[in-house]
Amino acid sequence: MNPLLQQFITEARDLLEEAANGLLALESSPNDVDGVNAVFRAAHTLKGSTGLFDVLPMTHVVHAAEDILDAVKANQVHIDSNLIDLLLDAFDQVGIWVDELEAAERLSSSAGSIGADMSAKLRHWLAAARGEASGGDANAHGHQNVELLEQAITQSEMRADNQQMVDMAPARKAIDWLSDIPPQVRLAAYEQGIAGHKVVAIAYTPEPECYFKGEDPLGLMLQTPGLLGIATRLAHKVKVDAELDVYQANIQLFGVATGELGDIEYLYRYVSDQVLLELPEVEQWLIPYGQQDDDTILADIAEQMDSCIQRQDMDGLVASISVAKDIVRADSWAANALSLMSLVVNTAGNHKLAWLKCLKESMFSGQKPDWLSLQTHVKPEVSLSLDKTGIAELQLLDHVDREALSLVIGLQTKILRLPIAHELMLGRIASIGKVIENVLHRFNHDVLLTQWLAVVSKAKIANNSAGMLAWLEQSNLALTEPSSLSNLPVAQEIQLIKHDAVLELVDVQRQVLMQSQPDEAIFLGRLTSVKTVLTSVLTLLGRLDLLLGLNAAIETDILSVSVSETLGFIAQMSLERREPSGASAKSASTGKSHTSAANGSAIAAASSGEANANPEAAAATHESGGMAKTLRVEQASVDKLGDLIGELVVAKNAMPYLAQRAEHDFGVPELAKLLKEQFNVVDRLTQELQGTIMRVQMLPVSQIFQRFPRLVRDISRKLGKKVNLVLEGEETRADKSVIEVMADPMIHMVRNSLDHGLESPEERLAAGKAETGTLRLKAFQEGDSVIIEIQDDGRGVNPVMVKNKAVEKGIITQEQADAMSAQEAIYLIFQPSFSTNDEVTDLSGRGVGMDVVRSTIERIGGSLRVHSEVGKGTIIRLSLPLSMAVSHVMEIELADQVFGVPMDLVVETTRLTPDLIKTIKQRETFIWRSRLVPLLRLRRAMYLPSGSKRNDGTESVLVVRRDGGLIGLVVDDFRSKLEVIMKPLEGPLSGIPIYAGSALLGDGSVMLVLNVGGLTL
Amino acid sequence: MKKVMIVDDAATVRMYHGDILRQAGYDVVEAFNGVEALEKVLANPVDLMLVDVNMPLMDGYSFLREVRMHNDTMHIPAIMISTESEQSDREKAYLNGANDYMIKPVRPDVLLEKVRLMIGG
Repeated sequence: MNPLLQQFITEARDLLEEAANGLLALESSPNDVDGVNAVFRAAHTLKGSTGLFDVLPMTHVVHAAEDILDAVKANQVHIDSNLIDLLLDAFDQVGIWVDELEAAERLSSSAGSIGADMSAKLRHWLAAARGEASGGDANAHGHQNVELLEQAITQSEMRADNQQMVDMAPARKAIDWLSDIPPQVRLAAYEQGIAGHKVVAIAYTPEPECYFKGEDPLGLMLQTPGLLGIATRLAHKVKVDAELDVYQANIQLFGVATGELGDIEYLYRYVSDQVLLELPEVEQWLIPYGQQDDDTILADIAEQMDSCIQRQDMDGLVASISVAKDIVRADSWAANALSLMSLVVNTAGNHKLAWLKCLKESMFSGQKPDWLSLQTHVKPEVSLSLDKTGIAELQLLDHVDREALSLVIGLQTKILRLPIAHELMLGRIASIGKVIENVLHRFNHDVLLTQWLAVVSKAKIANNSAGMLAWLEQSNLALTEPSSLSNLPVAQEIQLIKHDAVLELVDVQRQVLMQSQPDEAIFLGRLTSVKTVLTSVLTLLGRLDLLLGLNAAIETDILSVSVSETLGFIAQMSLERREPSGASAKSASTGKSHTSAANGSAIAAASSGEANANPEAAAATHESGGMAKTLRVEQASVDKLGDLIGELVVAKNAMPYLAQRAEHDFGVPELAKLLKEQFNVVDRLTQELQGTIMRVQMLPVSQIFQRFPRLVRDISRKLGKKVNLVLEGEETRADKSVIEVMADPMIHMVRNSLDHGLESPEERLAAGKAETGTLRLKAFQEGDSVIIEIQDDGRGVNPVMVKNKAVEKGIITQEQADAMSAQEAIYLIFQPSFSTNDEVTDLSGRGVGMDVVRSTIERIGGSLRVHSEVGKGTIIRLSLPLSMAVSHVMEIELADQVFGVPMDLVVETTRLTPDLIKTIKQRETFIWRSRLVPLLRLRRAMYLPSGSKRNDGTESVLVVRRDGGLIGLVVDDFRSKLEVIMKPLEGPLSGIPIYAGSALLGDGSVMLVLNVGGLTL
Repeated sequence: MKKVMIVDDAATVRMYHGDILRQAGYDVVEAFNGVEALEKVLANPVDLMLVDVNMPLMDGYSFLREVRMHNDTMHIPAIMISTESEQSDREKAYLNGANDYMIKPVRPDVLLEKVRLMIGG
C-alpha cells in the first residue's frame, strides 16, 4: 500500500478514537472547554488529511462535524446526548470508511450517497440548532449557502485537479496502436468522444509466463467497465514449428472503454506494468483503412475540397465527397477516408475544419492522418495561468472559432476591469467564470477548460479576479496575435511561464509589508523575512545587480521603522520585471495590483482586531512531553520476529538430540559434552529473546476495556437501563494475540450482562436495590495467567429456570437435569443454542453467544468459571494464558502416539485399579479426593484402536479441569512436561474441535495438543 | 542542501509535504506543534518553514510571531498552509509573519514552484 495512505489510516484511527473518547467525556461534562477543543482539533486535523486522498464523502462528513464542533466552541449550540449520538455515528461511519480504505485502498461505491446523507443530517442539525439558538433561521440559511458554495468550489477544484493530472501527459500524443483496434470499435469510440464522453484506449501486453501465474488476460480485459470493443494481435511474429511454445502468451490485447480512468486503472492494478492506458483526443480515432489505390483522379477533387474547407462551404464539401465516393473503390482507403469526412461534417460540423483538412490529406496520401500536426509539441505547464498547451490550443482554432472566442473573452475582460464593490466580487467571478466555461466547453477545449476551472476556483477562494483577468488577457493575446508568442526563443518562453509566479510572489511580499502593524515586536522579523524571499527571487532571475538596492532599502527601513523604502523597491522591481516579456501580461499585473491593494487595505482593518482576539489560549489538553519513548512498528514485523524466535526455540531443542546421537551413534562423547554446554548458552539466550518478544507483544487490557464505556452507554440507553461501569486493572498486560482474540467474547459477555443480568430501574427498585446497576470489569495477573472478571449486581442466573429451558430445548434429559447440581446447571448457558430469554433482542439472546465465548477461550488455552447467586448477581471469571506464544504441555501416550495436554488444565496424574472405577448412570466414574469424577477413555473418544499398554490392569488417569469441574482422562502413559510453541491448526484441520493446535518437537516430529473442552463425553 | 521545516500536527500531512520536498532534493525537518518547531528552529535554523495554523500547545500564528521575534530566525521565509480558504485567514497569516499562504491540500507542483522561488535549490 502507498505509505502515505498507510500513514493516513493509522493517523485517522487515532484521531477518531480521540474524538470518540472526547465526545464521551463531554457527555458527562458538557461545559469542558478543553474537551470541546480536543474533539474539534481531532476533526480539524482529520479533515486536513482527508483532502490528500480521493475520499470526498469522508471530507464532507468530517467537515460537517467540524462545523458543528466549531459552533459548540463558539457557544452557538449546546451539547446534548442526541448531538453526541449524531457525532459518534458520523465518526463511526468515517471509521468504516477507513477500514474500507485499508482493505481496498478506496471507498466503496455507496460511500458517496452515505456521505451525502450523513453530512446533510449533520448540517440539518446545525441549522436547526442555530435556528433555535438565534431565534431565527435566516442566519443559518446564509451560512448553509456559503457551505454549499464552498463545497462546489472544492469539488470543481478537485475535478480540475484530477483532469490536470490526466492531462499532464502531452495532450495529443502519438498512439500508433490505435489503428490495431477494429474500425467499427474506433467509430464507436469516436461517437462516444464527440458526445463528450471520455474514451480510454487500453493496450495490454501480457507477460509470456502469465498463464503460469493464473492470469487470464482476455478475461481481465472483458471485465473492463464500459468496454466498447476489443482486438488482439500477435505480439511477435511466430513460425509454427518446434520452437513455438503454446504455453506462453504471445498476444497483445487492445480495448476501448468509456469507464472512468480510475476504475480501469484499478482493474489492471496487478498488471499495471504491462498495460498502457491512453485518453486519445476524439479525432485520433479517425483512421481510414482499406486498400490503397494510387488514383490520380483524386487530385482534382482534393483541390476542390481544399477550397470548400477554406470557405467553410460544408454543402460544397459534402457534394465533393459524394462525387469522390463514386470514383474510388468501395473498400479502398480513400473511400473510408471519405466516409470519415462525412462523419465529421455530420457530427462536428464546421468547428472541426482542421480535422477535415487532416483527413483529406490522409485520403490523398494513403498515410494515417497526422493528428499530431494539429498541435505543437509542448510540455504542458502546470501553473494556473494560461500555459503553453493552452496557448497552442488557442492558436489551433479555426479563424471563426478564434474570432468568436476572442469576442467573448474581450467582453468579459472588459467587465472584469470595471471597479466593483467588494461584496459583489464573488458574483462577478462566478458569472464570468460560467460564461467562459460554457464557451470553452462548446469548442471542446478540455485543456483550456480544466485550467479555467482551476483559475476560477482560485479566484472564488481569494475573492479576487486578478488571476482570471491575467488568464483572459493572455488568451486574448494568443488569439489575436498568434505569432507574438510562438516566435520567442525557448529561454524567454520559460521565463514567461515563471513570470506570473514571480510577480505573484513579489506581490504577496508587498501585501505582507502593507499589513497594518498591530505591534512592533515582529516588525523586524517581517522585514528580514521579506528580504530573504526577495533576495532569492532576484538570484533566481539572475538580477544580482539589484541586490545592493534591496539591501539598502531594507537597512533604511529598519532604521526608520517603516516599510516605505522596501515597498518602493518592490514597485520598481515589478515594473522592471514586466519589461522583458513585452506586451504579454502588462495590463494583467497592473490589474492584479489594483485589486489586491484595494482588498488588502479593506481587510487589514478588520483582521487587526481579530489577530488580538486569537490568544495563545488555544493551549492543548493532551500530548504532554513526559511520555516514554515508543516506536511504531509494523505488526507484521513483530509477528515475523515472534515466528522466527519460535523456530529458533525448536531448532535449539534439536541440540540435545544431536548430542545424544554424537555420543551413542558416532561414539564421540567429547563432542556430545561440548554440544550440551553450547546448548545451555543458546538455551539461555533464546529464553531471553522469548521473554523480550513476549513483552513487546504484551498489550494492556485497556485495549479491550476502552471500547466498553461507549458500548455500555449505547446499549443501556437502548435498553432503558441505568448502569455504572467500573473498570479496574486496565493496565494489566497480556499477549497481543490473547487480547485480540478476547475482544469479541468480552463484548458478548458484557452485552449479555446488560441484557439478561441487569434489571430495569423499576425492577431494581422493586427488589430493594439501587436504581443504577453496577457492571464491573476487572483484570489482574495471577501467576502465569491473566484473570478477567465480569461482575454484575443483577438478577443472577436461576438454575431452575436454566434446567427447565435446557430440558425444553432437548439439550439434556429430565433425569440429567434432576441429577445436576445448581452449579453445574449454570454452565448449561454455555451449551450451543441455549438462550434463557424468550424474546430475541438485537443485542444478545440469539443463542449463539455464550458457547462461542467458551470455545474461543478454550481454544487459546484459557478457562472460564461462573459464580451466580439469584437476586444478587453474576461473576464470570476468565483465566487466560499470559501468552499464547509458549505453552506448557504434558506429553501423553496413546496407541503409540504422543499427544500434548495443556499443563494449566492438569490437576493430577494417578493410577486406578479396576475396582476403583464405578459405573454410575451408564458412565464410568471414580472417586478422587472424595469427589465423583467422570472418566473419559481417550482412545475411544479419539477413535483410536482400543487396548492398553499396561498389563497389570491399572489405568493411567490424568485429572484435568473442564467446565468448572473435573474429568479423568484415561491414557496409555504419561511423559514429561514440555515447553512448546503451539500453532493453531490451519485450513480444514482448524475445524477439528478436539485439537487446540500443533507443536514441533526437538527431533523434528509434530505433536498435536488436545483441546480438553472439545472432547465429547 | 536547503533545509525546510514542516510544522503540522497531522502526521499524514507532514509525510505528504515531506515526500514532495524530499523528492525534489530538499532536506526536511518535521515538528508536530509550535513548541517543538520553535525548539528545533532555534537550535538549528532552516531555510524555509511550512506552517499549519491549528496545532496543539502552540498554534501557527503564535509560532510565527515567536520566530519573527528571535534574531536567529526572523529572516526565515514561511509559507502558512491551512484548510481555511477565507481571504481573512490569508491576511491573518501575513499579519502574523507569513510570506505566503496556501490552502490544503496543496498541489505538489505549486508547492514546489513556491518553495523554489523562495529559496531556490
